[in-house]
Amino acid sequence: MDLATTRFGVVPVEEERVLHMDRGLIGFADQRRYVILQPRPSSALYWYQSVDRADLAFVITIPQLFVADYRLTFTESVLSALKAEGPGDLDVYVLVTIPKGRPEDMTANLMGPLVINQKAHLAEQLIIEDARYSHKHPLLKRDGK
Amino acid sequence: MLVLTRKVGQNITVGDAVRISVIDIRGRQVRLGVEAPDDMPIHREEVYLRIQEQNIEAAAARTDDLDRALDLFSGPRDRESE
Repeated sequence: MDLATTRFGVVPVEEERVLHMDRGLIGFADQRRYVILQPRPSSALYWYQSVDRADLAFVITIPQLFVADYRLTFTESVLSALKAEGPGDLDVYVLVTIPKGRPEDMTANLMGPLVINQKAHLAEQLIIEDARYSHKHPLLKRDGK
Repeated sequence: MLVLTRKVGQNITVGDAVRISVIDIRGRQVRLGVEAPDDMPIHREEVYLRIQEQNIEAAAARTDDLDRALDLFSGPRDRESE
């Protein structure tokens, strides 16, 4: 299929790469279908592009690239909602906020991970209440050293 | 809004599947228990709103800022292979 996007023009996407979210992202309940696009080969940041709203795309990343010990435990209800046989079926991403014109201040939301079962083409945003994880975790060290 | 008065140990039922219990009251704090189906997410409102607000902020990302962000990483990370 050809996917119309505001940021990248028309992007050809295989149907099987489309991910379905039963509840959408929090605050975006109406958008239920997304694809992951890679801006550059082997880049650390990806786009999570809405299939149904051309202008809606989020930057996501793999949290362990920045927080080595980031670990989630999944409840049975999360596993079953994502049709996962075990945690091994699930990939975890986090949403990245890049303030306009200030990419050096980008942060990742470790409290609201995006959990994906690629095999089942399902995704869900969880809310993690863990004092170690911030919703604005800086991705770049700011000490300048 | 429906307003109900409850004592410790009393409950409120919502539909067939949700039960909210008053477990304890200490000063200005109330401990509530919520029983609900597994597929119904339950969160403290301020946490839910924080995630929602962060999502809205994240949705405003621009491609030129993402390119610059990738350049900021690509120093030590990508040059290892060169």
